[in-house]
Amino acid sequence: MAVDDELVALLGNPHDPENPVGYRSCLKADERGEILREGERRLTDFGLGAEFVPADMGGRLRTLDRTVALLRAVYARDPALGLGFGLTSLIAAVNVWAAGEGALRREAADVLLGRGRIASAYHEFAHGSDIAAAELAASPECGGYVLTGHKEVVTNIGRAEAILVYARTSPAPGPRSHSLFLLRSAELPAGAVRRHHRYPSVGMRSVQLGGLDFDRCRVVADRRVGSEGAGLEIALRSFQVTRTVIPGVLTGILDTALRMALRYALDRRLYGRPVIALPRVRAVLADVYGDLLLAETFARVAVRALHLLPEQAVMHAAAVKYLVPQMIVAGVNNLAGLLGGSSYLREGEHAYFQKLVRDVQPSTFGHASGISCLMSLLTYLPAIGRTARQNRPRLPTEEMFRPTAPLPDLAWERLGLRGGDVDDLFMLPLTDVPLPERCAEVVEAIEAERTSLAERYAGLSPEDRGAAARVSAYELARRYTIVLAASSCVGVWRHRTSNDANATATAGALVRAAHLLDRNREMSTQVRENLLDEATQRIESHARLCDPG
Amino acid sequence: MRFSPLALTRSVVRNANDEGPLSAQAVLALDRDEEFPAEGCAILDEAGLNSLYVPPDLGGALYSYPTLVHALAQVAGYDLTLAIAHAKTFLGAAPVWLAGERAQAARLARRVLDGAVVSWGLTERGHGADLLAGELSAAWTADGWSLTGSKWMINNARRCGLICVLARTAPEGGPLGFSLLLVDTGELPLGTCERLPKLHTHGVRGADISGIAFVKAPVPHEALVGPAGTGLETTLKALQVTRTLCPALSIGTASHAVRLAQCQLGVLERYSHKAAILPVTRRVLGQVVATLWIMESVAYVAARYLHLMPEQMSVVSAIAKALVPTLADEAMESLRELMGVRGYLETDMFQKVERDNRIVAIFDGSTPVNEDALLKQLPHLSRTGRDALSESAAEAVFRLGSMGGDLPAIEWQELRLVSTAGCDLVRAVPRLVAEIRHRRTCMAFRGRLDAFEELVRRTLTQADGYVPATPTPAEDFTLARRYEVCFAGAACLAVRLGDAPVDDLWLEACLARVMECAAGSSSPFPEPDVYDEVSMDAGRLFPMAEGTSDGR
Repeated sequence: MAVDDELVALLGNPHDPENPVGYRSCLKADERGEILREGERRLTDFGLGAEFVPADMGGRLRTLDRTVALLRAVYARDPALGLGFGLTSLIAAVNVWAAGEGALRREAADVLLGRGRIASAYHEFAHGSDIAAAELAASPECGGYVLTGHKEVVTNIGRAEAILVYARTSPAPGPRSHSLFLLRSAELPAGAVRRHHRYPSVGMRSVQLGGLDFDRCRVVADRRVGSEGAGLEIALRSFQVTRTVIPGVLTGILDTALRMALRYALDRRLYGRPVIALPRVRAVLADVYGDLLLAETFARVAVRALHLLPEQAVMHAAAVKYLVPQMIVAGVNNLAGLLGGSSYLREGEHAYFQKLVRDVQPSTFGHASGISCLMSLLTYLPAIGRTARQNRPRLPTEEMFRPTAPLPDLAWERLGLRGGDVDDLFMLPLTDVPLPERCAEVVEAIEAERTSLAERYAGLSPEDRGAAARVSAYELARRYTIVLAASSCVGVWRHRTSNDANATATAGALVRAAHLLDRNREMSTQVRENLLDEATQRIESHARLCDPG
Repeated sequence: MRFSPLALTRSVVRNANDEGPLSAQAVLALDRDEEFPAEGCAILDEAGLNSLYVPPDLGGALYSYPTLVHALAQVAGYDLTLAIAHAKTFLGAAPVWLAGERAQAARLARRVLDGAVVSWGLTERGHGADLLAGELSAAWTADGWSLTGSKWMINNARRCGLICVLARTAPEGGPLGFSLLLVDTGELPLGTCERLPKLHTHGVRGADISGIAFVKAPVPHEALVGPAGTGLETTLKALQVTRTLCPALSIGTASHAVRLAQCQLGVLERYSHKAAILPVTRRVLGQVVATLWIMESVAYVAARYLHLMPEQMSVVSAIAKALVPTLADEAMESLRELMGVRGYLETDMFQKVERDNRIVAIFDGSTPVNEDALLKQLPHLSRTGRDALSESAAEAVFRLGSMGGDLPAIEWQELRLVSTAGCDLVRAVPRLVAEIRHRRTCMAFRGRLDAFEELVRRTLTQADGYVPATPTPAEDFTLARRYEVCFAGAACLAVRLGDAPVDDLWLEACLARVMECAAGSSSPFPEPDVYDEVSMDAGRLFPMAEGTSDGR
């Protein structure tokens, strides 16, 4: 039994044209830019909102591996449904949980348990991912606050029962100038709040993006989440959770795209043979399958690390949120090239594919752009480099890599901001374990890369922190994320519980990691054919492309 | 007939202002509503763009292929939908210029100059690029031909008055089993021809991408374009010409996207800096600009190639069609990340440009189709690659890069299915490099020049022992790409040696980008710092008209 079995069953057969939550219905909602009502109803029936509420508040949230698996299943069906109904509320709620004690905790829990939604209002056009510059002002006045300013392109802001607003409570620059507020939509004073028209988007079209103008909107002090000035800190701690969760959810998009592309290549004939017989097509499919396995493994290990090594989450979150979305967007684009004209039609057998091409795009810029993730990493790399240079590799507990091992509850209070000078995943021993066939050389190369990176991190200069860091520093940070992804694969392989653990998948994923480090490293024919066989067999037997965690 | 590029530019700019039919609002609205850009087409007709679709000896104005490329790039720089909607007529007519009888060509020329819409029916449902699998058949009858079958995913199939159709004329098919027929749909008896519904597409949503079905449609004997059985050959040769035009579309979309990005990033504040001066943003923007310059060089040189060395176009057109749209796709991905959520909103032009652009690498022969064609000719390219270049060939190569000078008329008859002469431009790299070295005493990029020369040498050595296999092994496409990149670098050298408005910084940025491309897909954090200096630059060989002040 996989954790998402019940949910997947609830969503029904995706290929059934009569299924109101099947691909055809999702596509129709996309065309019209309308909410997929039946999809939301089924997710409500499932109690998806309760999945976002910690168990001690009456919800079902204990460990995030389950949350990821559930949302991933929704994304695999329809990313817009997943974002519009699920993910957005989770992102908002996490802020409230991260803020610690307070009456608003109960309120947020009740909204979600009562089948409601919470919008997460951080975004302002003028500042994008640069939340330290957010302008919407909450000026302290008469024991409360007065909100003035605007939030733009916020999911569900026009229809959520509650809105989490990130606002500036002090004009001073610095990290203590913002605070968070949880507002009830029904209680917003008329006249002081103006709703924007909907922002229509090119993908995720059934998601309701809106905005609000606040004009001297009075808010009582007990609507504040956490203490005054704690907004940025709460945000940065909750980002560690959401940035770790989101990549694992997004892999659902690539999973669906790859299944569709495989089906296309198996069914369609060109030049008198099935498309899948073309070596170039085989190469693309195998590469993307390797990417999917790499992304999936990294995302899962990152979620487990969040529970097991929360002090290091600040690095892992930034790394996984950078690399995985990059791989997913590139993967979908590569598959689109393979489908050619069929990827360009909004009708017919493969029409769903172009929807995925559009829906996948916010993966890289939504909820922290790739650049901002690497920018966070740059802060920590010098210390990590120095430690890595001195110390021997460390072996984290095997629970990090065993998908079925129980996880401890998330220790919110241990999510650090300063990060550490240690990253156990980066330091994982790679070559002291027998590896799957054809991997040894690849992993040696990755280990050598890690050693050289550690040296270079230690030597990073202070000017390589922050947005104005040199381009070469960003490249070094990018390589860090690849080493973490590869280490995740080696860790999972090392701690596999049965002999039939997937050597093909591990080899495929590791070869692709090596390719990300060195573009000249192509997949060998043997690994490619193994991956293709594996994928084809799974498609034909209606099995999952990635084994459920 | 003469065509005035200036008049076209003026007309486009005038109509793109305010709320004119080519303005961003109007173009976005048409796209949203999936409306055909009829008004835009009328503006282009008025400006005489269709005269560029007709050879001068037939009364048209196609004196210079680069002029056509530039004109179309300009239109595509405002709206790709409009560009492909209008230019399809050239594609439909090209086979007739190439293989049609004089009288047939003269008749068609008059129709095109009168504004007729001509389409080209090659692809069929379920067969895609596999032309030999085509099922639409033409049977010989006493009065002519009887057509049965359908063509699908055809640009302007619902709107065209004429369509050049590839039909199976021998039941067993094969390379000699197909013929081209120029069908005048207005002459067909009722019930023998049905227009298939417009297809709903991801981008170019307003375009008439549809199909046409024939049931025993009678067409006269004179409809045959060239002798019976030559349909495939004529098609492949005509594709050499049309594939040399496709880069114009990519240059249009890429320039457009660069303009939008420069405009947005120039005003955005991020982390207390203007976004455009943040090191990564600046570097990536500059890389995209260098990409655009390479695209322009390839397109420009390829367009002149058609006049100067038409017998090598089988190679040149495959390279241009494979490389330029692929580079545009890569550039678009880099820009999309920089644009972030703004570029994702339906009200923003960027998302339209991004969606539209994707079609170029797909249609008129996809990238793999063209790379396959290139690989099949590689043995010729390496064999002739060792021979010294004749003086006349070298002179022609040097003429490829210049802007001025009258071009000889396009000799359609000189097109060959396979270039036995190889590719003189790539062969000439040592001479081009020597000339650059000779002309410039102080060069910051001597190292890049050496590296490029070495790349070409290695690539030709690799091509030397190359034996094409069917189906083409996946690894071979890397070699194809490398050869394309050699061509691109050579094109940049030729342009620099000519009289185009480019300088050493331009060449340095181009060579840096060429070497990145040769190394495989580029890193999202490019190394060459020369990009920083060109980040706010624009196209040089096909400059876009100054449009509205917001760059849209």
